[in-house]
Amino acid sequence: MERTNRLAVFLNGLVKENPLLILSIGLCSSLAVTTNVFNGIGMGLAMTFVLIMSELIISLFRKQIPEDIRLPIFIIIIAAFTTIVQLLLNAYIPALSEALGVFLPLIVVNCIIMGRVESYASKNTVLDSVLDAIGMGLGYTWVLFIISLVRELLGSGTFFGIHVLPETYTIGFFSRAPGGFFVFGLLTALTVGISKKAAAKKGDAK
Amino acid sequence: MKQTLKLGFTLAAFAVISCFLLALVNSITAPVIEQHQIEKANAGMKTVFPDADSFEQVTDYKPSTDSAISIVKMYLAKKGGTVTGAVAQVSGPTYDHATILVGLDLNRTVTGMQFLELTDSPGFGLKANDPSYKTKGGTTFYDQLKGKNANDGFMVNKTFEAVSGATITSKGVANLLKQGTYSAGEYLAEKYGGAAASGDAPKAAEQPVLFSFEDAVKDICSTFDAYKGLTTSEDVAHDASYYPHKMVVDRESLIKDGSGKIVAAAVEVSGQTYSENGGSVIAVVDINRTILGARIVRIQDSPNLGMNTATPSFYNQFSSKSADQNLRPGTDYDVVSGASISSDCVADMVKVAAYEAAGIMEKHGGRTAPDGSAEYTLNEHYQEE
Amino acid sequence: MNLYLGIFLKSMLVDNVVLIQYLAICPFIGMTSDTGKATGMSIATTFVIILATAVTYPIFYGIMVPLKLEFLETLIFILVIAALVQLVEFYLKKSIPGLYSAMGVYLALITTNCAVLGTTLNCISKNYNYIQSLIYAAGTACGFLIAMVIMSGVRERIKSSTIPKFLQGKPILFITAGLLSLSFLGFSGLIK
Repeated sequence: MERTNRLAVFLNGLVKENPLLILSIGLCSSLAVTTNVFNGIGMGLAMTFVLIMSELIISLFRKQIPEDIRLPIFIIIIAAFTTIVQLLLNAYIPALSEALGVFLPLIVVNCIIMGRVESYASKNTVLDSVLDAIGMGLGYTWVLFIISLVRELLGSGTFFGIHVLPETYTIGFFSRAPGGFFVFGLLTALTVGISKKAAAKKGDAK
Repeated sequence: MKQTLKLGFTLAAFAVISCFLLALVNSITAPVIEQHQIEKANAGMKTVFPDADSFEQVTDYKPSTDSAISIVKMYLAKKGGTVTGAVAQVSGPTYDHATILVGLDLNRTVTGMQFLELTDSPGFGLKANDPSYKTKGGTTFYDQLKGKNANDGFMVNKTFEAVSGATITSKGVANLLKQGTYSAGEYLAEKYGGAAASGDAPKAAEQPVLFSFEDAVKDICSTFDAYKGLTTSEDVAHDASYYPHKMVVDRESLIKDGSGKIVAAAVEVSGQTYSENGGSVIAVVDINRTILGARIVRIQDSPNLGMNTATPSFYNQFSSKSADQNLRPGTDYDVVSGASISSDCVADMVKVAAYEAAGIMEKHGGRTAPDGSAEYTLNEHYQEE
Repeated sequence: MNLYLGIFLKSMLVDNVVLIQYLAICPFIGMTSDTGKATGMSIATTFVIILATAVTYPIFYGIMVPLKLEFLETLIFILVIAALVQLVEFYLKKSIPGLYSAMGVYLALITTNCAVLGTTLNCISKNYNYIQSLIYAAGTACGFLIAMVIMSGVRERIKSSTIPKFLQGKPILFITAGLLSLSFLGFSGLIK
């Protein structure tokens, strides 16, 4: 029984309560950095790291953190890990940190992290929290991957920097700001459509 | 109270531990990050000096000899620890403004040049920094400079090809190169056995100068021993009689020497120029109806073009001319290159002012006007005709 | 003077914080269902953005740089913002309790508004001086207000329009945002 529960916790973030598509949180960074796949995955993994570490520490100390000052403490912990990611990327993958720009430090105000830490990690065991973090983080990352795949392919004809489509077939629109909104809107529409169908099926089965 | 203390303590504990952890990570990553910064800065300089592996900034180099151009930074280029040349960052006016990096080796040969900043006109001067723009020689504008020796000078269309349609930009860049390579060359010659300069320090490019009425008179008088130190003494009422082409006499003044004798007259005239704001000039004439000098009081024409009528090399052309001769481009004066309308308008105003001044001198014992001098001809075709 | 006007217009229109820089999307989507709420939220956010910039800038240059603590930028800035929001909350509770209860939980959410932290960080990375930073913050805040008001206005119209089934709800909001963003791209040549 416990095994299924753990798996459920993990899968939750991937699909059922996908932070971007279902809960609609953490949107800011998702649109700005998804102009190409390298940035998209980079951001996703950076955010996942901060999420895992934050949920880990906060869950670990959840009994020690007083209720009244929990928000400032959460902020300190999340900010600390965000800064660590910043420093590590600046030193070892400067290309990524330059591409992510101001959105790297903005991970600290990513609603997903704050939200999960508040609603899950502070109330659950370490193992569950870490699984939740991995699930949510990967759920975030795979959506970013899809958005950046579409935008990079259609906007500049490349995939991970490798030219796939000839330049004349690219639609610059997708690399600019409006493109992000559009792709995300269509993706959300797709999600709504699929989930409605799934709910209808469930309804039929019943 | 105890509760608050406990809360504060817990908060502080988390804060301190976090900061400690961050300081730890920072101390590990900071040197790596700094190394990246240095490499990035070096990468920029390596494009103008490919043969060096490290650069060291120096500060005791000679500044530029032109007040409008500044040598912002100077670096020694080193290969394996020995100095093989220098890189200068020079900033100054072109059509608008530019900052360049130029590399110079110990023979005073340019190893490369690059624009750090160029704000000239797109499609014209800006092409100097365009990697897809090719000169007739097949290279980009800035790559032309590779291999040129500073001692041969930097002459537009001789040393290097100007950007088509942007001579002023090209001349500006040449001036920046002259200053940068001279200072770098001298530094290398002085300290690292570099080649000596074959000529003098470059001269500052002429800047236009505007004068007030009094300052103009003082400046003109100071160029003559006989009139040194003299200035305007007594203003004369001027009549509103017809002046050609809507020119207006703004002011007329007598210039007296120490004993009170009237030695010259100054007249300021306003009129049309290339720009719709027009301009004013002043001419000073002696008792022999000779123009002692002319200066520009006001002009707002295009920078580097019409504005250059206010440079000494233009207005000094009118000195020693007779107030009675027609001032013709080509014969009596050379126009500012690219600004013939402005030049001719200014010359016309000088002519009218000089003629009026000669007329004043006539009333005070000066030479009489020769026959026919009142029917003078001006150059420009003005709007209302 | 021209420079300041340029910074203001650039941050308000050309680099509009929501439609071009992608910051503050959460309140943009979440709070624009009602024009009154949207305006109230934007004004509070405007206040916090400018106040945050005014406070973090001297802290950075006055304390952090001399002590070589730049690596603590993220941490200290977000704590300052959180503290400022708390203060604003206190103040509103005491002096304008009506507004306070209307805003509810959204007031606290200003802390996590990407635009606030984003603006304070941008001022540092763009090397603006103090006055320029304040003007940039004011421009950003105005841009946010404009975007919020326009969006809430459009949403009112959406309510009474027919929308394809699969686009109803959130998707149409993003498509709308995309169109608004496209129109703001038109400002891109405005300031050099």
